[in-house]
Formats: sequence, structure tokens, C-alpha cells
Amino acid sequence: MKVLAAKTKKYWRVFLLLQHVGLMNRMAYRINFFIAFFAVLSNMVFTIIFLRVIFGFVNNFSGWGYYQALVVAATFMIIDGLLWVLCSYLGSISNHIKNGSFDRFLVSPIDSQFFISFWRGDSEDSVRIITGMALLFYAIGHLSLGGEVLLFGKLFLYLILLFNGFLIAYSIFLFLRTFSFWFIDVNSLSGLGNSLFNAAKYPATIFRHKITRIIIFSVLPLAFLATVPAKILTYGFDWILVASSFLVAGIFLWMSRRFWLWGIKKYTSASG
Amino acid sequence: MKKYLAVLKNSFQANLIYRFNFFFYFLSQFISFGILFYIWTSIYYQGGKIGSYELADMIFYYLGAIFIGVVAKGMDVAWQIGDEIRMGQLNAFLLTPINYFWRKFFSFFGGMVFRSFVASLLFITGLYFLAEKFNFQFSLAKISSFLFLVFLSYLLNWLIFYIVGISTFWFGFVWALNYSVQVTANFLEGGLIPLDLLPSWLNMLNNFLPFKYIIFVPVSIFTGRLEITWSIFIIPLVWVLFLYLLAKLLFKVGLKKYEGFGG
Repeated sequence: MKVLAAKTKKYWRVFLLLQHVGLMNRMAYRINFFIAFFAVLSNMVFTIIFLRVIFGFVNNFSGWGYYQALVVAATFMIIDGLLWVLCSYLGSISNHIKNGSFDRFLVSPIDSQFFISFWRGDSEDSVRIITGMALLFYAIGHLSLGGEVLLFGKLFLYLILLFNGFLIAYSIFLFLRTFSFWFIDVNSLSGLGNSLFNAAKYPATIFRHKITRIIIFSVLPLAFLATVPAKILTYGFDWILVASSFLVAGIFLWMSRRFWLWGIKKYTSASG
Repeated sequence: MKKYLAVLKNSFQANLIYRFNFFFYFLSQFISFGILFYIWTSIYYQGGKIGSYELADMIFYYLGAIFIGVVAKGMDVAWQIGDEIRMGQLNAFLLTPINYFWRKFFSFFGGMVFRSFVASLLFITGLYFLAEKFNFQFSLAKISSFLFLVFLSYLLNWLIFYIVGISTFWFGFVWALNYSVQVTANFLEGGLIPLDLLPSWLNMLNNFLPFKYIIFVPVSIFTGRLEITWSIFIIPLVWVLFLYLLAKLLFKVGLKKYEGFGG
């Protein structure tokens, strides 16, 4: 128990240090930092305009009203923001493998998956989290979700499911990136990951066909990223969805970890 | 010209070597199209029209948009050029008797030829099976106008991001500006939603920018929602000329600030 506590403390300190260095790195190019901040903000605004245009013509988006759809979009923004702020460096694994600089992650006295995942974060993307939260509270304000106690309970559960959604998204990205150990130059994998990930921005009920519904809830469980937390918050408790969220998050985290460990065995160090 | 053709050939071969990269890129575009297909199918499930678009029109629009996206936009010009300036690799290019602008142009053009080849095969196949459903009327004027506009779209996109890339001379690092222009362009060119569905004030603003000639105008010509008039070709051509001159000027001025660290 003592060893575990010491290890957790060590990893927490490394994590904080990496975040600090990441912020300093970003602030070295201050103008870029602020341009990116406004670019991210614009991206959020464009998503909202898109939803407004849709709801200008229809009053129901696959069973979701405007404010409920906003909750899904806001949840997606928060998870997206967390991924960028905490582990944006996952995207550059293939570059490190290509030029041999991945060695540094293997020889350090720290877990390689942890190290590369949190190596650098894009601090300016915190605006995604802030905008997402503002949008979430704005949408909640227009929905009747019950009394204060009920709302607090729902929000608490929502936060836990949101964390599960983050773990699933992280696992999918790690899984995709681990392919770099075999295919080397697969920068387009990040584009593929983003395309898939973007599907989570909208309620999963848009996938009407049985097969796509199965895929979106199990093989590629994007439904658990934003739709499930939003559904629990806006529609109420559903123990099957809650239990599935924990199960899927656990399975995907374990699988991506196994795949990662298999992947690093294939690393041959190009030049270093 | 021979030397630039050699650059083009090398770039084409490099794309062939990293086929997996292209495959994944293509797959990502296909998935994006699939997601949009589901979104709009779900919206139209209630029946009716969105603006003047029926479901088939909307699907057809996105098919054209994805095609142009692959052909004209499937590259990160600003990132590559920005890195060459930031890391001092530009020194090596400046010492060779080849113009940097044209060298880069042909280098990216080789990739475009490769992507066009694959994308066209799939686009034509899709069109062959879906033309009747979309009530698509083939006409030589429409097809040739579309192809010319796609070429202009490529030039516009390339020049915009070339300028973003060389702004490294001033910013030091352009990832933020690059991302910012990508996000804005994607929305204002009609990649996310057809522009005629957007609020009128936004369209008014967009009329003073080149973005709508990258996706919305070529696709609307192809789908027959816009009539073929001279202005549709002249305005983007003027934009291309303006951006070309601006790029030349900025590179010249920027070189005076360049210190060549790391090269």
C-alpha cells in the first residue's frame, strides 16, 4: 500500500511538471497561444451555428430537442478539451517512431504509455472545456431536470460518466496511434481518429440502422462519450447504460494497454 | 520547367510509397461522409425540406464537397512550409537555383495528381450508380466548369495556406494561425453546411472572402443549383492572382527577417 501511494505521488508530480513545461512551451509563442484560443472558440461557435441552423428547420433531432442536443454537444466539447489539454501529444507517436526519438520514452524510469500520453498538452484548448461547461449550464437552465437535490445527483453521475467517456476516447486514440509501430508513417490516422471522434458530437440515435447502432455502442463505443452522459442528465437514471459505461471504459482501457505493450515490443529504433 | 516536373514526379512517387497514409486519409474522408449521411438522414426522417434542399440534394452536395476536400485540400501546406522556415531548412532551398515558391507548388501538385486519380475513380463510380437517384443531368459545360473550378479551388486553398506557412517569418511558429484558418475556412467554404442555409449576414460577409469558391461554388455548379456565368470564374481567378502577388511580396519581405537558425 505504501509503495502504491509513493508511486501515485511520483506520477502525480511528473504529471504536474509535464503540464507546467507544456504551458511554458506554449506561452513561449504568446501570439500563437491567443490565436489558438480564439480559433478554438470559433470552432465551438460554428458547431452551435450548425445546430441552430438544423433546429431552424426541425424541432426534433432524432428524438432530441434543441437544448438536449446542446447538452450532447457541450459534453463532447468538454471531453475533446480534456483530451487536447492533457494528452495532445499522443498524435505525434508516429513522428517519434519514424525518426527514432521514441527511445527517450522507453529509457526513462517511468511508464512509457504514461510518459507519451501526458508528455505535452495544448493548454490553450482549455477554452474547449470552459465553453463546453458554459454551454452545458446554459442548456441545463432551459431544461426542467427536477429539484436541486435531484439535479445535484444527476450532475454527480453525469461527471462520472463523462470521465468514463474520456477514458474511452483516450483508449480509442491510443489504440489507433499504436498502429504506428507497424505502419510507421500513419499521420492520417489522427485524421481518421478525428473523423470517428466527431461522430460523438451528435446524439448516437442518428445511427438508425441496427448494425451501425451495434457498432456505436460496442465495437466503437462512441455513444458512451457524450450521448450516454447527456441522456442520464436530461432523461434520468438508466442502470443498464450506467453499468455499460463502466464496463466499456474498463474493457477499452485494458485492451488499449495490452495493445500498447505489444506495440512497443515491435519498436526497432530507426536512428535515435 | 524540367526541374519542376522532376519535383512533381518525386512527390507523386512519395505518395505511392506511403500508401497506407493515403488509405487512412481516404478512409477518414469516407467516414466523415458517412457521419454526415446519418446526420442528414436522421434530420430528414421527419420529412420536409431544409431550405431548398431535399435529402438527395444534401447527400449529393456532401459527395461533391468530400471529392473537392480530397483533391484540393488533402495536404498540410502551411505546416510543412512553416516548419522549413522555423527549423532553418529553408537555407538549403535558398542555395539551390530553383525558385522556392514553384518548387513547393509542384511538390504539392504531385500529391494532388495522385489524390485526384484515386478520388476521381471512386467519385465517377459513385456518380454512375447514383446519378439517376439525384436526377443528375450530364452536360459538357457543367462537367468542364466543375473541373476548372476544382482546379481554381486547389490554387486558392494552396495559396491561402502557403501564405499562412510563410507568416512563420513573423510569428515564429504558425500552428495556431494554421488551425485558425483551417477552422474558419472549413465553415465558410461550405464544408460543414451548404452556405445558402446560413444566416444572410454571414453570407454577406462571406462575399468579401475567397472561401466560398473552394467548395460551395464548384459543388453548386456541379449539382446545378448555380448557373454558369462569367463571374463564377473571374472572381476566383482574381483572388488567385491577388493571393499569388501577396505571397510573392510576403516571401520577399519575410526573407529580410529570416535568420536561418538551425539550418
